[in-house]
Amino acid sequence: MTKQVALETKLDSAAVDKLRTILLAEQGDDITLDGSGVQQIGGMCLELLMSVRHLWGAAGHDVTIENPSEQMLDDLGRFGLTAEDFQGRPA
Amino acid sequence: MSDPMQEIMASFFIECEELHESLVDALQLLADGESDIETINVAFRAVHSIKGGAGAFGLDALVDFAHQFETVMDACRSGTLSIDTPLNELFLRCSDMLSDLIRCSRDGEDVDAATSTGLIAELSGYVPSEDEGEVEEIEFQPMVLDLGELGPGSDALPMDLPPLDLPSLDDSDETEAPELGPSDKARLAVEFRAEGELYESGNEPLFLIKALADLGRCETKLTLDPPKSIDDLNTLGSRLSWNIVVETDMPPTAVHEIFEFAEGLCKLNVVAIPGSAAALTKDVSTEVPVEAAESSAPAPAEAQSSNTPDAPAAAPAPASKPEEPAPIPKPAAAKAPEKAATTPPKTSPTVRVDLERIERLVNLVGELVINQAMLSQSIAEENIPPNSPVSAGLDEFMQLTRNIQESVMMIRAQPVKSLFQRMSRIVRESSAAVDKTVKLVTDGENTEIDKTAIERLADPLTHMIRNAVDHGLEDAETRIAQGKSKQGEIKLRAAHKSGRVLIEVSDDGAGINREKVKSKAMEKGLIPDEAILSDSEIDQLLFLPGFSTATEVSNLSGRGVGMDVVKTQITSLGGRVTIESTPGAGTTFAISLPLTLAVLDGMVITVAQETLVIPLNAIVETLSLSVDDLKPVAGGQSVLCVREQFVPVLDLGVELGYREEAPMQDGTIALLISPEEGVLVALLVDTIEDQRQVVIKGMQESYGRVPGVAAATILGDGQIALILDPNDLVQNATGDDLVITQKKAS
Repeated sequence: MTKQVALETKLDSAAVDKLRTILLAEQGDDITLDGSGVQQIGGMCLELLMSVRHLWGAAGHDVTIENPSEQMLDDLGRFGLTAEDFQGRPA
Repeated sequence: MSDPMQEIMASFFIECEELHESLVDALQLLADGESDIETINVAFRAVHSIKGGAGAFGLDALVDFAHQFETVMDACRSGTLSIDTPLNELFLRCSDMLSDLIRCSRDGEDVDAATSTGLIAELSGYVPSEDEGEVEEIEFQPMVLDLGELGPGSDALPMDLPPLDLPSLDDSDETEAPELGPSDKARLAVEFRAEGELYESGNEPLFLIKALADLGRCETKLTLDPPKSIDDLNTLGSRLSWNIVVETDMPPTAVHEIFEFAEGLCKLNVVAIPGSAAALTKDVSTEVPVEAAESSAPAPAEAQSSNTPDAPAAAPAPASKPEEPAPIPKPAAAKAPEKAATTPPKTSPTVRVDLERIERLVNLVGELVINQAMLSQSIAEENIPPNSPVSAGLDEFMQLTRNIQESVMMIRAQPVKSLFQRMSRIVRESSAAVDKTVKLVTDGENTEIDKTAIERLADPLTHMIRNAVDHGLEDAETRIAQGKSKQGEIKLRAAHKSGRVLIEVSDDGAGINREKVKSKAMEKGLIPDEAILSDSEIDQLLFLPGFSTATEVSNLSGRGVGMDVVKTQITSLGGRVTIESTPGAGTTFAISLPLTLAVLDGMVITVAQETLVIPLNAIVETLSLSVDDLKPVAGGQSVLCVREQFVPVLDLGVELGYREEAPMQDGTIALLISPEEGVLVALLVDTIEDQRQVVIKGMQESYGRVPGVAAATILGDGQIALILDPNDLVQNATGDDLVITQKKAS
């Protein structure tokens, strides 16, 4: 079963605890994260998302991002990533 | 616990002020034609450092403006653009805007976007911004570079993008030229790993990476050190690392400036990629990997100067044989290169201290001085011989107390330079507003004064400068007709004089039109129509509330608000303001302030059984009089003849209302004071008790301003004594005529 989670507007360091709680609550499920409202994603939340994606992927579950906002794509781009890096299951 | 982010930002803004100060210095040297080859480099680096720090905090408006500013400066320092007068004036205006942007960023105020945009457009007229011509080229395009792994995490997971084959940066000995052909642009390889403390201290990698993108096109690869278990999600902050290749002409130190506030909180390696322009042209010393976080040895001054971005390039070293790793400047020393540009590196370590702590220290020293006075008095009352060990110990104690007091006061003292720089801007803006050409000449900008006084002097000085520009200086036609140069001159001078700080604002304008001032005052009903006033009294009318001679309200003045406020503000600092004006030659406003606001050397005297303190620096001489020394003059007054000079006499007891006027007795003490240069006035007192340091206890908050009384103090026996301001006493009690008449006579 795929769970839908809407990401917060501002994913800075202050938002990481809340995001971690939300993601851990969906442990064991596929998660689709809606990035349409994201205006900023910082390093800490990015690390959390990538780590969750890695751990969930190892357990056979997908963590993907849908509808990333322009700003989110821009931030991901600056970090060296693209939207495709959050599609499918990590290698 | 205070917010670490706020603390770091506060630290950044303080550094911005220092950098801006060096920028203004350099621009002023350029304007004065006294610059050398390093001057533009100093200015450039100041702007660049501000931009770097601003980028780390995501202050985009500041970054954008500084970016275009430094772009034009870069063209100047590379020789593709020469600095003429219009460009230098533009630089000065940009410097003002930069200052505004810093202030707005710090205070969270709205930025004057129109002015900022206008100036950016003007700058772009000299050197088009990269965004205009090379949009496609600098557009951020994430690419993947296989720069190897950052550390022991051998199972790091690079994102699945096609790698470029670049060598590892971990081991400098193995650094080889990446298989990228020689490029017109220099390339810097930046290896950056976040650590937990980086986030805790308020830094954000996103902003740092954005700031890097301002240096040039970036190729970025992100690597995740994958977590082993769910528990690892609780220890976030150090699993991401980036390998970024920046295509830029900037030296590696430019990257370190961006990471200045993150040093020690992350792992950072920066190398110029061999074969690229950076490695072949400059900054050979920074070709090899340099560790920011791990660098433990403090950078020696010599090493820092060799790391200066614009240090002359040594002979190019072979790319395959890197030199010894260059040490990285620590944050506190990061500004050394700017200072080193015009003078040899001579920096001493500094520490920033909360002003409240210093205030507490000053108060404690004040208590110590009082305590010492009480001890002295107790010992004196015991009739202990002066050569006894107790007396010797007390003398030593007094000397130590004085040294401590002076040292503490030095902590609060700051040069007036920053204040003068602000006035430079006021002159530029106000002269532009009234279409006059004005040159500001400053002198004594290293004169130190209490920090509190510096802050509170800004408003009155601004008023005075604006008045000088608007009212003092004539327009160009009038000046030329009078044989003066078209350009008006305003002098701002600071100096220590007789234990006080003297700040003068003078102009070479028309001088005060006293007839106009007097008639305006009569018109406004400020003085009676039949009033006969001396020149000095007419000048003093300028300080009356609501007084203005301006027939039109200009952008600068003419609203009748200003000089009265100036006088109030100066008086509230324990200072005085005086005017001296010569028709056709100009006007000088002189502000005299106490050197410190806490302790002074005073003479303890008595008048009609009242104990009073007179500041020692106000007293020129003391005399013991006989009745014959006084000579009667018209109006029932007397003067004292001192070495063939007649000196007006003021009986302090009468003036203060302690007693009725009475015939003088033999042995009466006269204190000669000098309220103005070359002018003496004798104050009659009963006895001189002592000469000692007293702690100033302000009275204004409780009692308001009392004419002739500066403050109060607590004496050694616990008695409270008033500290007099003898000059104010003379001016207020007897009027200026007393002094001025005597000045003219002498």
